[in-house]
This record gives sequence, structure tokens and C-alpha cells, in this order.
Amino acid sequence: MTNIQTINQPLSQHIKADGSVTTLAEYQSNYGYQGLTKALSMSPSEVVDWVKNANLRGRGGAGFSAGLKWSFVPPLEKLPGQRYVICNADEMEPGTFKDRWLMEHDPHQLIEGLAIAAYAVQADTAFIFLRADYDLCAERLQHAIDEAHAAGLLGDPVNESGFSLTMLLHTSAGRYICGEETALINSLEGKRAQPRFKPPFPQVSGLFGRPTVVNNTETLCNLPHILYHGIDWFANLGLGDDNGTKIYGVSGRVKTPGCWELPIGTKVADIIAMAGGMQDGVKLRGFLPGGGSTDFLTEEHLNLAMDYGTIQHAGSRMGTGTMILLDDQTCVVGMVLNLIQFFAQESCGWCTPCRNGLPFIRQILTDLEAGRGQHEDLEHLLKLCGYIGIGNTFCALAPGAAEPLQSALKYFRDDFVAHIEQACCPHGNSPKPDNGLKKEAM
Amino acid sequence: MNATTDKLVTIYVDGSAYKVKSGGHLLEACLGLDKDLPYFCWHPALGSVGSCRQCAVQLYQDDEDQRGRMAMACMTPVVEGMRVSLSAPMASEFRQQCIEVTMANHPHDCPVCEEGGECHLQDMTLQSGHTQRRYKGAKKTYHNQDLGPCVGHEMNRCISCYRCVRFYQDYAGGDDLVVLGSKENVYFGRHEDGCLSSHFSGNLAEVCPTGVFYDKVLSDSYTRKWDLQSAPSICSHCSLGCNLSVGEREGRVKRVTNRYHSQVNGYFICDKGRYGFAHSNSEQGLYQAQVQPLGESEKVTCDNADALDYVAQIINELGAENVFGLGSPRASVEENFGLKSLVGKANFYAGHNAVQDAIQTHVLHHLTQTNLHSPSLKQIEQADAIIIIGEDLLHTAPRMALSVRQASRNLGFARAAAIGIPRWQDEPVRIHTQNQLSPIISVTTASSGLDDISSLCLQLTPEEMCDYAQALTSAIDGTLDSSKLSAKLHGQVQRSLTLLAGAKRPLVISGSSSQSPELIDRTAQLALALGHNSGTQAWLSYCLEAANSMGLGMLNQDAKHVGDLSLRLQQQSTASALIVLQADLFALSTEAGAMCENLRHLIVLDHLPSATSKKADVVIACANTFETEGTYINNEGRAQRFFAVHDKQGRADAWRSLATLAKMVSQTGDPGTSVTQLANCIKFDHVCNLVSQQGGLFSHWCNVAPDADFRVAGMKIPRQSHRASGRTSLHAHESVSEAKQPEDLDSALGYTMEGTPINKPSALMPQVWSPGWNSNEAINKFQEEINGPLKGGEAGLRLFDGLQGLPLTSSTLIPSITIGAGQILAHSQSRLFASDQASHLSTALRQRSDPLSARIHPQTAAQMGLTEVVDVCVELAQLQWRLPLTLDASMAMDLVLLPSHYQAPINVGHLPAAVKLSTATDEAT
Amino acid sequence: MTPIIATDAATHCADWRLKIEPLNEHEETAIAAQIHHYPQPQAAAIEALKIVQQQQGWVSDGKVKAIAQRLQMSPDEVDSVATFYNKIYRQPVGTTVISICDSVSCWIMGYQGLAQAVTQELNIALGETTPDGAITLLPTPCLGACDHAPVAMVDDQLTRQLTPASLILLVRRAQEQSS
Ligand SMILES: Cc1cc2nc3c(=O)[nH]c(=O)nc-3n(C[C@H](O)[C@H](O)[C@H](O)COP(=O)(O)O)c2cc1C
Ligand code: SF4
Ligand code: FES
Repeated sequence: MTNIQTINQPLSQHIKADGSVTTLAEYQSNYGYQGLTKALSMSPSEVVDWVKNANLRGRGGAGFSAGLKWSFVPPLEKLPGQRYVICNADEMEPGTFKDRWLMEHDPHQLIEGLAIAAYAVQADTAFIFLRADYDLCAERLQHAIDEAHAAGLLGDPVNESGFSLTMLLHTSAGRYICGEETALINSLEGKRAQPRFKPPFPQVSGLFGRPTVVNNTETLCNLPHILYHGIDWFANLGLGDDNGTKIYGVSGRVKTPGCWELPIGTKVADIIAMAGGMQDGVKLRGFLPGGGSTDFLTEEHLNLAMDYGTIQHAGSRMGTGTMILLDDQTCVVGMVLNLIQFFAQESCGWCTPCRNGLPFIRQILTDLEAGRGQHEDLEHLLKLCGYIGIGNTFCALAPGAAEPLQSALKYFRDDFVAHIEQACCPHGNSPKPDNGLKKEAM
Repeated sequence: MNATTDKLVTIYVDGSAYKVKSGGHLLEACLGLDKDLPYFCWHPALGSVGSCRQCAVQLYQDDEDQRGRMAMACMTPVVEGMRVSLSAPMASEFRQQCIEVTMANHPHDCPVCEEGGECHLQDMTLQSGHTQRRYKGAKKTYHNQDLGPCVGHEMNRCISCYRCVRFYQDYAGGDDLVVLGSKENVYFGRHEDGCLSSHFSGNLAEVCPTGVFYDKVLSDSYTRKWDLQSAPSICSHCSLGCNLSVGEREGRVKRVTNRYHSQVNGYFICDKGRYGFAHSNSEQGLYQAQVQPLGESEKVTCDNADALDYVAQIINELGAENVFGLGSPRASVEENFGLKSLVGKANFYAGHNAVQDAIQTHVLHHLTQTNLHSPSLKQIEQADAIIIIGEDLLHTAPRMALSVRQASRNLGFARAAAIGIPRWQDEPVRIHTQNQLSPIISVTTASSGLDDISSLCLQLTPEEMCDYAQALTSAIDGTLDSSKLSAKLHGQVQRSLTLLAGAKRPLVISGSSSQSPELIDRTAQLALALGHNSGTQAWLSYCLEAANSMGLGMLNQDAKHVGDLSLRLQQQSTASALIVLQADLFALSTEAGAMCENLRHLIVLDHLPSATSKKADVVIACANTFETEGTYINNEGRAQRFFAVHDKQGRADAWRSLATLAKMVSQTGDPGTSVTQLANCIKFDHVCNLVSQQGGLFSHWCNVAPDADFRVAGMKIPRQSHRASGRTSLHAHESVSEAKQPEDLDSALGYTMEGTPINKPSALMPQVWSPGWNSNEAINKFQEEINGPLKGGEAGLRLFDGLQGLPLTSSTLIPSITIGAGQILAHSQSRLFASDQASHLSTALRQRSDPLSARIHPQTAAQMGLTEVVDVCVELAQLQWRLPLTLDASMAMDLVLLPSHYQAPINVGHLPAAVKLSTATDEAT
Repeated sequence: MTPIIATDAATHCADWRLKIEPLNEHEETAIAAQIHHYPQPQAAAIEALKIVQQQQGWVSDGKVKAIAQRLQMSPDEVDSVATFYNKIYRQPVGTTVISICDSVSCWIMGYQGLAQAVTQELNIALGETTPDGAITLLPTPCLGACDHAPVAMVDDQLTRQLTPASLILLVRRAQEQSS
């Protein structure tokens, strides 16, 4: 029997340094699938309440309470018939690689979590929507799903409980927008991944018009442990207001980029320290706290706790919790241009501000980076950030794209001005070699 | 799409309070309040999707809230007490930015753009206040596809509003125009170049807010909207009576567009209605009178007046009692009435064969004497279960097919409403309901274009259809003795019953194309049973043969047809003459030749030549629908007026020619006779007065449209726009003095630009235009509410409403067809495009016509000894036709379907009939 | 006998079914298995495209039509889906596809150097295929391996911590393999 107190990195406890995958036997030897057994011994609504009380917040970026989300699914008595749960494993946010880490190393943890979610909302089919390029994940997940089916942990009925579940792995055909939950649902229906209007929310009318819950991989991976160890244990793991642990990551010019499971609310500086600090000779100037669609923060924010509330209060978002560091040798304008190019390229093309606004911004930034910018461009850029902001677009892609740009204009305005005044990129990035060369592969 | 309930709520727009209907959205409400709010992706018939973000407004929580938040008006439900601002700086700046980024890639090719002068994008750009271009990048360029002869494609102009595919795929059910690509490179087109297959493709030109999809036929001889001389018109191609706006320049009809009518065609017409106007410009048309004096071997051309003199002589010579008239379902009520008045009731015959006549008589009886209600197209969209028997609607009444398609969504609308999704939320409704459709049962001889939305498709012969309808009726009444049914029929009836169970607003659709009067009765019984069962008025819609079938039927109360005329002529002992109005004897009867033998004179009034006009000794060139005024009565009994678009090109109004004749022959007549009354008609309104004097269903005839004395601000309604150009220069190369504009004594429309361009009564609106709204989207300024009736009253008049309560009668008995040895029953198969002469003269439609072939079930073919796919020889009496054979395993058995084509030796009018079918040998063709 | 009446029907669209490149047996069974997972066949469109691509390297017009027929869709509807996704190739690609991550972390860590080196080495631009059909170069959005930036995928294989020199080595190896 494991001592609960010692488990403070539940999600990564099985992750081995050699990168090999946790087998079913290994997983089961350490209370694997017992969270599911526990759940099955409860009523579905008890499971929903349990998770609601644990205050597990969605790790996909928005931080919405998982239990609360499930509770919006109409009860089976009121709306009988098919319902679905989906694991959002389409990780494509620039700078984010935490879900891959979890799935590659411990697929059963996700499968168990997904099964618990399915039971809670009484779904008989669960999909794992996996991003196209995660081939190793696909292989390992499929193997684990087959194992679980064979062992009677999934299928018909699970554990002789009367609850049956089919779990299917769907690999995407590649689009960042597939990560947006309603676009993901369209994609699962074999359609173009355009987001859907809400309401109705997927919990009421989602995949094939049926009640559907979409949760992030990391969110789901928390479930077995919450069920098994209980709410108090989970609450004690977090340092601040939030409960549990978080997979934090760091990329950029640090000594040892990577990701680590730490108590949620760990200080930014401590996380960067996990990455061995900056490489020799480079200085930290700022960071995107949780992926490419979050606002820059700077050195002054290094002592903040990485939790949803604190980071939001500082003017950014915790997002995926995987930071991208900006150093003094990297051109801010170039970095923002790179991000805008990503979002413009990954726009689904449905609404005007995103489809046409992002390329408009890209053009201005391209000109700036190439030394063709003018002072009035900066005002215009700020206006355009407002133009593609929250509430103005159909989904959150474009408002996310505005975040690094608007904060860069706030914190690093001098860099932009330097580009204009020197009529070139001080980092030597103008003219850009790749932009003209790029062609679309249709 | 009209989702508003009748509950009124108060909303505050820029500080002022307004009462609007609840249940709708803000954009609709604002436009309904006559406010200008730009939009692209929303379309009144397609609902909201919120993709263009152009309709942004500022929304405030309450009186205190000064900041507000931005919201898309088209996605925001109207609720009591809501406060919005259209002029708030944040929202108006946002709308301007939207246009700015949209215009970044839009080419500045306005001078050569087909949309020029009626561009919604241009209107919205000005409305939003975007005037300065700041984008420095290069514009994108795209490949344009060849989409066939009707619709042009210029992708560079695209602003990605998604309207085209939402209309084409979602609304009209087409599957060969889609959105391709993604991000800033969304492309609206096809998988490969090729002709768009939808029968509604032409609407793309109107739905597209820019010039991406344009009317290719117009483009080939282009004229700006403001230079078109236009008039309100009614489509002459089928019995639905879609309202058209027709534009002319330099003596040629240039284009046809939809003219909004909330109850009939709404915003859309079919491609036949849109592109089927070329006959009016055709060199093959009849433009001059021809007379072949007795004893001569050839006709000589002459003035209409001389020809009329000649005809008057004939009438006077032979005696009025020996002059007969044959009316036409293609001619207007006034024209048919004129002919009937001239020859007298006793000598007037309908241009129908026996079957057509019986059908028309039964239809008229059922719709006017019983409790059946014939729904408008808009009402059809409200049916929650539809059973179509014997009509391939996409070919016989295309616009109705489009309405049926909308009705199929009612189950979905109801299911969405149950979780609070209003019907105008287009995507959520579709997503929530997926493929669930209201029950539609389609019973046709061969697979039909509505099979994709039908829950049950049956392929039966017309005779089997009657049995099916009868059995289903008894099953609904609970009087079915199933032991008398074959197992197959029993199964079909049971499946239908299950589908129809629970329908609250069922509708039966049938019509004349099965050429079975019995089916007309059976479907009426079925509709009554369904209505009774659901506790509502029975709804039944009949699709009829031609634009004015109903009008001719109403004038022909004695139900006399070509067969009767043929008999009468045989019995005539004295020399006689026949005046044929826009009909072709040879297409109606296999005995046409013999009839002509029995005539001393054959006189034809028409605008297109026919076998009859070739045979005639007098031909009078008369004006077509674009050149004269008249009234059609559509399949539901709605009388609708069309007006001359331009002055005739030597062609006289048929009604006027007939009145002139009356004058010439009636000098000695009794003032009470119909001839004398007609003789007194100088203006069109006089004929209308006479029509209304018949009383009965015609009593209110004068209310169909405003009379010729109607004026707005003391002036006529101008056919030309107030910015029409070239009036003085158009003919300057011929004469520098400006030609006098023709005068129009017969309608309230004038042939000039003088008069007020707005404030027109809707019945007389030649084109839609309103200040700042140059595109057809201007219609929102003329509607009482979005999707509602036009201000000042909808055009036209419904003449009956079936609440008479008399029982159904089945009177006329048509002898059943005996199938001899080696023979098979032949029916005609309707083909929308180019099957008739008028649409055949449109090059564009000719290219879109389906290939001709005789269609037969493989098993039936085998029984006839036709095993291979070969050419066959079809023989009917002395008529022969060689055709390729198509084997079709999904059609009814024991009959052959012959394609309808006006040049076919075996014409629709000759069918159904027993024909001989054999493998064609290679002897002389 | 009256001859066949001339119509212009010949100018009508040719039936797309005549231009189908039929699915092979493997494609057929794999697609059938996927259809099984969904309430309607159309939902398997993306899987069907991926299956064909796995077999053929890309998805030709003829295969789009074959998929359309199998899933009771029009080729246009299938193409609408196919052209939306990054990873469905509607043009032929080289024997080896090298996708270089061009997103932010890799960009910071030296993507531009990689792109420059490899385009120079192969003398083609990103998005192009070498004339011998050996290699296609594609820029690709974040590969989720930012901790190993800069990275690239060589077909299905992720390669990490690239330098211009190590990437060129990979390219040369791919060239050898294809010849
Ligand atoms: C453009 C866009 C991309 C997204 N991508 C992802 C993603 O890759 N993975 C993910 O889990 N959530 C992503 N999300 C968030 C999802 O929409 C959704 O909120 C999340 O899957 C919910 O899971 P959670 O509640 O467990 O966090 C994305 C959102 C947007 C707007
Ligand atoms: S549906 Fe009939 S009336 Fe309407 S446009 Fe078409 S042919 Fe004309
Ligand atoms: S009209 Fe409202 S978003 Fe397009």
C-alpha cells in the first residue's frame, strides 16, 4: 500500500527516465484502475460531485471546473440516449508539450481518467482526439486501449459493473483549431474543423447533436488519483487557491528545457530554475506563461505563483502552463511575427477578424521587421489587437493571437520603435528569408 | 426563417424605444425598424451564422452601463428591455475595421464587375465609413472555374461570407459547390471545373454580395442595373407563378431576377425562370403577320392590321357561329377571355387534350368546392409531413421542391426549439438535429431529385399510385381491408402510415404530370383523410401543366377540349375557321392533321412558330409576357399581373388584336353580347372590367393590381431608374433628336425615368432600390418586417380558399388505355430544361438539358425482348420516334418513360398511350 | 423515322464516377472498419483520406472520388474536408517528407538557420519537392517537442535538437534511401 503523503507527483509517478512506456501490469501494480473501480462503486452523480468538490480546473487552458462542466450534461432520465466524452489530445499550442509527455509514458492513466469521466456523464463511447503528428503516442495509446479492452477494464460491461464503454482513438489530420472543443467535435464528425456557436454548449448538444464532454488530457489524468486518494489529498497538493499539481514546462534558451509536475501555484522563478536557468550569455527579458496565446510577462513577474488567479491578475493567463522564454538575443518583433504567422496560418477561415485581420497584422509586422515600418503602425497594431479581441470573433483563436502582440507592444515598445528608427531589425532578421519562400501545401 | 412570435417587446436603440416582435434577432429587428446596419453573412432566408462579424452593435446591460459590450446583432436574440447602440464608437469603428480588412484583398475592378451598380459590398463599405486603404501587401489571385453556361466565377472578388455554399448546399441541397481550403485561402467552388448541377444555381448571383458568382448570360451582353428598363413580371415556365423582375435595354430582354413575394417565391427562383427568357430576343420568333390568301401556296408577310382585316373578313364571310377558338394554358386570362368573347362561349375550347382537361376540371372542382386548401409555397414550408405523388418536382415545379426541402427541416426546428435554439440560428439547428428530417414520402415513376430528403421513396406507375393513395386513405380512415391488398402494397401503406403518424400539418402534393385524372381524385381523398385525421384543414397542392392552366380552367367551365373540337369539326356541315391562341394542335392531338383538313381557315396568334402556325393561313404575331400585360392564375389560385417590360417589336397585344377583331365584326351586333363588349375595350383595364363582370371567382379581378390611372405623387411608376443613362445618346447615331418615349395607356407604369423611384406599391415595383441600398438586399426597406409581406400589400390576389365543404365528385371518365400485344404503356418524363420551345431557345438552358432517352425497367425491357442497351423505335399511331434506351432498375415496371421535348414526334400531349416498342433497325433514319 | 432530336446535352458535365481511381483492397477494408465507429459514413471522411494517403503518399483527384462514392458523398464534399487539413496532401509529395517546425520555440532556437541550410542544400523552397521526387520540404506548426527545439519530422520520425549540419545529414540519408 502506498503512503498517500509521499505521492506528490501523482501524474508523473510512473514516468521513467528511459522514456519507456508504463505497462498495464506496472500501472495496475500501483493502484492503477482502482480509481475507476471506486467510481463505478459510486453513482454517476456522486462522481460528478466528487470531482466538482475537488475543484479540478481544466488544464486545457481555460481553467474551467471539470466537475461543473460535467454537471451541465442533462441527466439520463431527462435526456435518454447516446452521449460522448472526448479527450482533447490535440496539443498544438505553440510551446506546449505536456500532454504528449503524459500520453507517451503513461497511457493507462489517461484511459482510466477518460473512463471515469465517461461513467460520470453516462457516456458509452469515448474518443481520444490525438494530434496528427503524435505517432508514438498513437501507437502506445492504441496498444494500451487494446490491453484495457482485453483485460475487461473497458468494453462491455466494464468490470462487471453494468457500465459499458467503447474507447476509440482518432488521430487528427492536423489543424491547431481542432483543439478548440467545438471545432474538435466538427472534426470528429468528419467535417471541416470550424468552431460552433455556443449556446448550445456541447454538454447539451455536441458530437452528432448528443450531449458531449470535452476535457484536456492532463485534466483527465488527474481523475484516477482524485477518485482514489480523495478530495482532501488533492486540495493539499496545491500551494495557493488551486488544487492539485500542474505539469509545467519551459522552452527557449534555457539550459535544460522540459516539463515537470509541480504543485500548482509554484513560483515562476522556481519553474525556470527546474530548467537550469538561462543558457550562458543570454538574459531573460520576458516570458509567455502558458503557450503562444498568452500575454507576455517580464522579470518583475518572476516571483508570482503560477496559478490561474495570480497570473490572470498580472495581466496574462496561465494557459497550458508551459512557458516560452524571451531572451535578450531574440527579436521581439520577430517572435511576435512568428506567433502571428502561426495563428494566421491556423485560422479556420470562418470569421472575418481572424481570417483577414491576422494576415493584415502579419503584413504590418513583416514590414516592421524588414525595416519598412512607420510610427503610426504601432497605434494601428494596437487597434487591430482590439479588433480581433475577445467577443469580436467567433472563437478564442484570434483573441489568443492578440495577446502576445498587445503585451509586447506594452512591455517592449522600444524594440518596435528601434525597428522603425533604424529601418531594419537590430537583431539582423530583416529581410526574412523564409516568408517569401513559404508555399502552402494543399 | 420567420421565427418571430407575436409577442411584442420593447427595445431601446440608440436611446429610442421601439416595439418589436420577440423571438427574432437584433439585426432583423433593426433592419425592420428601417435602420441601416451592415451585414454580409446573414440572409433573411438562410438565417444567421455570425461569420462576417459585420453587424456588430454595442449592447448595454442596463441604464447604468455606459461601456457596454460588443455583440453581433444577427446572433443576439431580441429580449424585453434590451439596450443597444448602432452608433456607439466602439461598434462603428469595429464595423469599419471589418470592412478594411475585408477589402485588403478585394480587387478594385468595379468598372468591369458584373455587380457594378448593385453591389452589396460597395453599399456596406460606404455605410461603414471605410474610405482609406492602409494595407500594403499584395492581393491574392485565384483561379476561376468554368461553372457552366449560367453562372460565372470570379474568385478574386470573394469576401468569404459563406453565403453561396449556405444557399447552394444547405438551403437548396446541392452537393457540387463547396468551400475549399482554409484560413485566408478559403475558396468557394467545385472539386473540378464543371457545370453546376443545381436547378437553383442562378440564385448564387443574387445571394453573393459581390461579383464572384454572376449571371453569365447577362454578362455576355452586359448592362448595369440602373440602365435596365424593368417591369414586374410573372414567370411563364410553370404553374407556380414566381414573381420576376425583368430588365431590358435596346430592345432586348437582358436578364431576369427574383422579385420578392413573401407567399410565393420569397427570395429565390429556379434557373428555368431566370435563364428562360432568350426566346423573347430570338430571331426565330414571330414578329410579323403572315397571310396566305385562298388559292395561294405561300404566306406573305403583312401588317398586323391588314391581317386582322383579313380575319374579320373571314369571320364575316363564314358567320360567327362557324368560327371556333382554341385557348391556351400559356396565354393570360385576358387573352383567353378575349378569344372566348370573340368566338362566344359555345365555340370556345381549351387547348387541352381530354386527359388534361379532365385533370384541370377535377383540380378546379376540388380546390374551389370542397374543404381542401391549396397552400402557398410559404405555407408549404410549414408542413410537418409531406407526401408527393406523381410529381418529380425538381422538373415540374422546381420552386416548390425548394419549399419542400425547407419543410423537411421542421422536425429539426422543433427539436432545436425544445432545447432553446431559435430557428434562425442556422448552424446550431443543423448540428443539433443532424440528419433528422420531417417525413417526406415521394412516390414517382422514376427516382426523383428529392429522394435525398425523402424518408420513403416509391417508384410506381400512375395506376399503382392511385391504388396506393386509395389504400392509404382507407388505412387512415380505418376502413382498410388489408386482405384485399398485395403484400407489397400493404407494406408500402404500413410504412407510410408509420411515417405520417403524429403529423399535425400534413400536406399532399400531386399534379398533372402523371396524366391521370383519377390520381387527382385519389390524392384529394388522401388529403381530406389526412386533414381529418390531424384535425386541421386538408392541405393539397397540385402542380399544373402551364403558367395559366388554372386561369384557362376557370374560363372553360364547360370543360371543352381539343377532342371535343375535333368531333365538332367532323360534324360541321359548313365551312369553318379556327383561331388558335398560343397553342399547338399537333402537340395536343394525334388527330391534328385531320382537324386541319376539316377547316377552311386556320388562324394563329402567337409569338413563336409551331407546327400549327406553319400550317395556318393567317398568323398574327402577338406580344409575349415581356411585351404585354396580363394575368396568370397560379396553381394555388393566386391571380398575378405581369407588365410589359418594353414596347413590342411590331407585335401587338393579343388581347388588343382580339378586341380589334371584335370591333370589326360586331358593328351590327347586339350590345349585350360578349363580342360587342369586347369591341368596346380600348384599354387593358376595360378587359379586366369585363373579366370581373363574369362574377363568381372573378368578382374581384380589378383588385389584382392597381389600374392604369394609379399614380404616386401624381406620376406614373417609372420603368427606368432615375439614373438611367443614354436616353438622349443611345440612338444618336441614327438621329440626334431624342425619340419620343413610348406611352403606356394600359398600366400605371411609364416608359421613362420620371416618377418617384421609391414608395412604389409592391405590385408595381420594377426593381428594388433604396437610397444607399443599390443591391437587391434593398428589399428589407420594402418589407413590413423581415421575411414579411411587402409594404402596401403583397402583389396579386388569391381567388379561392376552399372552404365550401362540398363533397368530392369524380365525374369525367377517361376510357382506360388498352395495351395490345407487343405494346407497352408510355408516359412522359418531365425534363426541366429545354423541353419546351421557349426554354429551348435559351442557349444556356439547352446546354443544361438532360440527354434524351426512353427509360425502362430492365425486367420490363426483357419482357419486351429488349435485352441490350440499344436505340429503340417507339410507335404511336402513325408517329414514330427513334431514341436511345436507358435501363433503370430503380423505376416503376410495366411502362416506358418518354422524355418530354417539344419537337418530339410523340409529345406529352399524346400521352399516356399504348405504344409499340422495338429495337431500332438501321434502315433509313 | 424521326431521328434523335439534337440537344446540347453533350456539353453536360461528364459523370465523375467515370473518373474514379478505385480503392484497393486494403483501403476498402480499413475504411469500412472506420465507418463502423460512427452513426453515419460521412463521419469517416478524414480517416478515409488518411488511409488512402498512407497507402498512396497523397490523395489524388481520382481517390477523392472513390472515397466520395464509398461514403455516399460528392467529390466536392470530400474535397472540402480534404483541403481544410494540413496533413492531407492533395498534391504528390516526395518519397520522404521533411517537416520542419517553424513555430515559436523552434524559431527562437534556430529554425531560420535550418530552413536556410536545407533549402540551399536541396535548391528548393519550403513547400516544394525535389525534381527527382526524393524529398518534400514542408514548414509545420509546433510539433509539441519544444523541449527539444529545434525539431523536424522526417516522415513519421521526430528528430530533435537539430543543427543545420545534422539536418543536412538527415537530408542526405533520405536522398540515398530513395535512390
Ligand atoms: C484555438 C484553440 C485551441 C485550443 N487547443 C487546445 C488543445 O490543443 N488542447 C486542449 O486541451 N485544449 C485546447 N483548447 C481549449 C479547448 O477549447 C477546451 O477548452 C478544452 O479542451 C477543455 O478542456 P479542459 O476543461 O479539461 O481544460 C483550445 C482552445 C482554442 C480556442
Ligand atoms: S419555379 Fe416555376 S414559376 Fe418559379 S421560376 Fe421556376 S419555372 Fe418559373
Ligand atoms: S451578418 Fe451578423 S455576423 Fe454576418
